[in-house]
Amino acid sequence: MQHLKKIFWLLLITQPLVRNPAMAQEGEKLFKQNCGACHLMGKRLVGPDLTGITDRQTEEWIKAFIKSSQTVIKSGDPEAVAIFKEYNELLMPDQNLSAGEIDQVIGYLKGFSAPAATDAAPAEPEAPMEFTDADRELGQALFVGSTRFANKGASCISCHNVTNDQVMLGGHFAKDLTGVFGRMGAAGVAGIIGASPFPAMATSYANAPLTEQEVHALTAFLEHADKVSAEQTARSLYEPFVIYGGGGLIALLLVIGVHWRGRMKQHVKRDIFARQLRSN
Amino acid sequence: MNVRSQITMVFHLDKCIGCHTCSIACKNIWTDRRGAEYMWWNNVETKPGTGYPTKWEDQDIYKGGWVKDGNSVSLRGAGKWKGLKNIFHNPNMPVLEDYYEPWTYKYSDLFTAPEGDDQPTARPVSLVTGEHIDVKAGPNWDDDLGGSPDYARKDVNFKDLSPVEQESMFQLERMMMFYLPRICNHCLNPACVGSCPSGALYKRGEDGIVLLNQERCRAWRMCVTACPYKKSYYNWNTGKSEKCILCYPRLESGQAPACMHSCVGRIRYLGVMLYDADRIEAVASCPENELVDRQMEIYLDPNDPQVIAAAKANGIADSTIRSAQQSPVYKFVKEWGIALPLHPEYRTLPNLFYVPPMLPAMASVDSDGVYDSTTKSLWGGVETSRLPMAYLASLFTAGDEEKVRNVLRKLLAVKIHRRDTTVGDLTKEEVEEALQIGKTNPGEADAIFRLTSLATFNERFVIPPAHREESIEMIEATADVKGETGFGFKMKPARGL
Repeated sequence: MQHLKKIFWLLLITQPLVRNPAMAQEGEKLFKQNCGACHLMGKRLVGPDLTGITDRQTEEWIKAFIKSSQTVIKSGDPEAVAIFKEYNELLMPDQNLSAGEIDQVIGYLKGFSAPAATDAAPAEPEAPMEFTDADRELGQALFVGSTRFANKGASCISCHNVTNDQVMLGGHFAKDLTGVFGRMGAAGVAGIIGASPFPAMATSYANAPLTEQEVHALTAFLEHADKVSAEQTARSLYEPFVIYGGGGLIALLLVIGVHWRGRMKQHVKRDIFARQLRSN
Repeated sequence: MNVRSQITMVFHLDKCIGCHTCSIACKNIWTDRRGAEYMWWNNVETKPGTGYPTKWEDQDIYKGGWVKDGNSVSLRGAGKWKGLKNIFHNPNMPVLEDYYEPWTYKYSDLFTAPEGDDQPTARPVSLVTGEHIDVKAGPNWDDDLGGSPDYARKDVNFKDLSPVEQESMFQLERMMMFYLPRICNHCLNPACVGSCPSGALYKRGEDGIVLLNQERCRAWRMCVTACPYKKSYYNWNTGKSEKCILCYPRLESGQAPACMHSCVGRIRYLGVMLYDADRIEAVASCPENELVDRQMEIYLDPNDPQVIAAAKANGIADSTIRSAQQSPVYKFVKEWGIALPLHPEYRTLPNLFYVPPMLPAMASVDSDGVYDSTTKSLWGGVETSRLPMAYLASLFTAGDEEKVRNVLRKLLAVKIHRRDTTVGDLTKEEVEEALQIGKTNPGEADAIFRLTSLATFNERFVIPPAHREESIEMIEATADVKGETGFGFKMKPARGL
């Protein structure tokens, strides 16, 4: 027991000093799992390029931002607000990481200090994804659910809506994806679909990951949806509900009123009670 | 011929004194429970009056009983389609106000009230909500013509009477009333059984008692609507409907039902009758004016060798056949024909028959202008009865006044014959004429008199042995339950026995 305590204290004291390769590896793994969908070192993806971030910001700031970006933004931090504005007010979800894990991620980020980034050759423009009509069709089928995902995940339309005449109204639980391709680009969309940083989506697909082909097809469909979004008729989710629901209710009440018009409407003693004297 | 046995009853209305002892006996045994306070499996109504629940006889309101439907009958307010339509909300049921809100008094206030200028009172408290209430109605507030403008004048049976006739029933020296005790009729064609979507109601094979299985009842309350006599009640506490069980535990041990046993006026008779179950549909669906006669035909002569053979072939015990031969009900209903079913037009073929009441004669003004409320003879003629025949006909014969008149004439003949026997102040012609009009003879008159006035307990109640030893053999090996009949568990306790 004594022994363990000693080890514990030793670890605690030396912990910030230690930057061993094993920890950096751990940090890289965590980064790829949790941040990789939006962030890439040396290249701007959905989120900003994080090269040299440790030089630009203090460690506390980074920690707070990873924990809850919205808290930092709402606190009015000018730099955080500026980033938020720059990236189309796209939310960075809160990360479910422990303090130790965040340290590991920061440790990994420190490996990409500013000079290294500047040294690196400007990122070569990546080859744009190629989308065929077949991809788009498969993507639409997968989105709507007429074709099931290979691993039986829920189809996108359960939670997401896309304004497209070919597709029926989707769910309103999550973001409308009509213009998502325009905001995030192919890499961003594919990244989020493949390994979502959003907790609800990550949990939903934790046991039903999408295949690469499916990710590609869905990206193709979303690209198409974005491209043709201007030609689509916007449909309201609520108007038909009000019209059909209200109309249906009135019709139902009419049927009930007519069909059961001969029902007992009052008890038979009403005139007897009406003649009685009351004490109050 | 499909012979079955049926427990049947006769209530002699001339003998009813309206004391409600029957109702109290029944309540004390069966319905003195939470949720059952408003149930009166047995109740006594004053006629004319609206009864309990109020206006129960008005089937335009409550949609009870059967209606003729070609060569068969269909339920007026329940059944497959009508029932399905109303299954989640049945609009034709009596509501609490149509019965009454049961109440008690807060007696503790009498002892715990602080000292004050006024005497403490026990205020009425609802047995449903526990709140103080203004008592607005009771189950027999029409008693003895109480509240006549509200209750008596709204009698549903006035439908066949002209306004003048109705008015005359409420004039001094013309006013009259009688009591109508009612229990479940244990009908041959029970509407409650026909209406139940859960199959919880059934007619017992051995004696025709209609029962409601509390384990199968799902509170659809179709039986409440369907029973035209409103003798099925919904228990709001248990969520099950309940009805008169004709005290079957008492019958099975040879005792008369509590209401009958306790009857002060000894108006009640109970016995077995054999009937032909194959004829039920044909009888129930016959034209309205034939209903009473056809129902009488369905009951078979228990002394007829053919009937006895058919009964035996159907598994009816010899002891039951013997009981049927001694049945007082058979005598009243079939031999003498002086007991009539209540509201036969509901087509349920009720098994409770009533001897209609003889009521005081109307006063008259003679040629000298003298107002005279006495009559020449001790009893006025049937023709001068205060009670319009149409009223009795509406109750007992689906509108056939002649049938009621025949019964009353016979009852009058019995009285005249007995006066001749015991007092001897009548001329021979008078007596013979009365017997002739009454279509009876001295022997029959004496028999009617005897069973009406002098009958002992065992003559009034001829209860067939229940043969429980046989019924148990059908269910289990008797050796297993030897010595424990009546003390076993119906559902075994969870932790075992």
